[in-house]
Amino acid sequence: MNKFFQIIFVILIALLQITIMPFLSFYGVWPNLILILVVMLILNGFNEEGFIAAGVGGLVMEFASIYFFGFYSLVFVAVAVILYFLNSRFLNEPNFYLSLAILAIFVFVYDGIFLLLTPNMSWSTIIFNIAYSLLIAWPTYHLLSYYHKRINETELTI
Amino acid sequence: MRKWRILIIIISLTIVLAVVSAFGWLNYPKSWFWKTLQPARVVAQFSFGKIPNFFRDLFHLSTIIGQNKSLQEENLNLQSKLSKLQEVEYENEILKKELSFSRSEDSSQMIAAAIIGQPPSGYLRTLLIDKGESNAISKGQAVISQGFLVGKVTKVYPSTSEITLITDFNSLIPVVLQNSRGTGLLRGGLDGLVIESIPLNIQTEPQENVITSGLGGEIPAGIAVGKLKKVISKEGEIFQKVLVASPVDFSRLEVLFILKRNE
Repeated sequence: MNKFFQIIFVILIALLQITIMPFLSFYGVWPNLILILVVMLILNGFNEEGFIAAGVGGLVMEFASIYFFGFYSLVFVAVAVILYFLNSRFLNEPNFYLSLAILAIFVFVYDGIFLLLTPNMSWSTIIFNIAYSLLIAWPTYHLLSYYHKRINETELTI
Repeated sequence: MRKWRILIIIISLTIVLAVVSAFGWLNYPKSWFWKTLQPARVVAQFSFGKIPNFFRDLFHLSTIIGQNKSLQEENLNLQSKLSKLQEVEYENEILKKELSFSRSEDSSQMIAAAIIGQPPSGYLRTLLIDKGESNAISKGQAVISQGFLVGKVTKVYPSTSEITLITDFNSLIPVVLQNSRGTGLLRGGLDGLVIESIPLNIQTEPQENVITSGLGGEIPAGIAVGKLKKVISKEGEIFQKVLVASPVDFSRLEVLFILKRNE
């Protein structure tokens, strides 16, 4: 996909996160679409796209953030780099259940950061957020997987 | 190699913007960003915003029917009280005139504000409103909705302000229980609104009103917060802890009023 369209797509997802997701909250929790996108992209082998999603998505979210500037960008870039090494060293093929398990771990760590910044926050919120994130990650993984297969088929034909 | 180049560009850009932000030069772009997104947010609120509420309402249908019945009863009760109070007010006015009292002017003034943003993560209960320094908003002012306290101003930008809701974990509001006169600190959290640090010798009453105490000088005294729901302190604790029910639905806030205190 063209870089320009990739960036526009990530900006749209980040804006969706800021404008729509707060209204789709259940018990005050809404998942982070950028985090889900970064994890699913890299675990499907779209490393470059994953880095773009982490950087661009993070930067857009900084403008809506109440934390110090750089918080979201650094967290997402760190997630992307860790996953890139994990994927290139230990994981050979994309695996659906493993991807969901890895996403659950990353959501747990990401929420853990908020737990440190927010005293009195309940652990049950994190569990609820993991479940909500996995629900969104399910179709995301299959869409990316389908796109991955299409690319491979096109390359083989050529 | 290309992916590392992307990464270096992103990190460099973040560092540059973080430095710019540290000098406060991003306050205007941030403010502009929220203002630009406001129409999209309004559309989202009136379309997507109805989805979770619909499911929640459906789930609590039996509770809603029960609540409706008790509210109708309460309404009738309040109507009769209101007519009595109107009579008392009339008598009061006459007596004041007789005693040459001048009617004291309302010491506060309300500024209506629309919600234009929420932070991307839902853990902190903060909101961004469309009124700021240029509208004489200042830090610490009380924020009211439907006559009840919902938060206070925590950050002020040129044309926008940040509000921390009383349901936020970090919010601490000095309050008083209207009948038992027990004072404490109202804190938000996932358990709901909780008043901590109420002395053990205070005999709390069920359903008594909770109002702001005015301690600390930031939030004026007498603003309604809600009603006492139940005592949740455990045995052996040195202070009492009670749960407070606010009639305000914090997920459906639309227009807020900032209580501007006259100098």
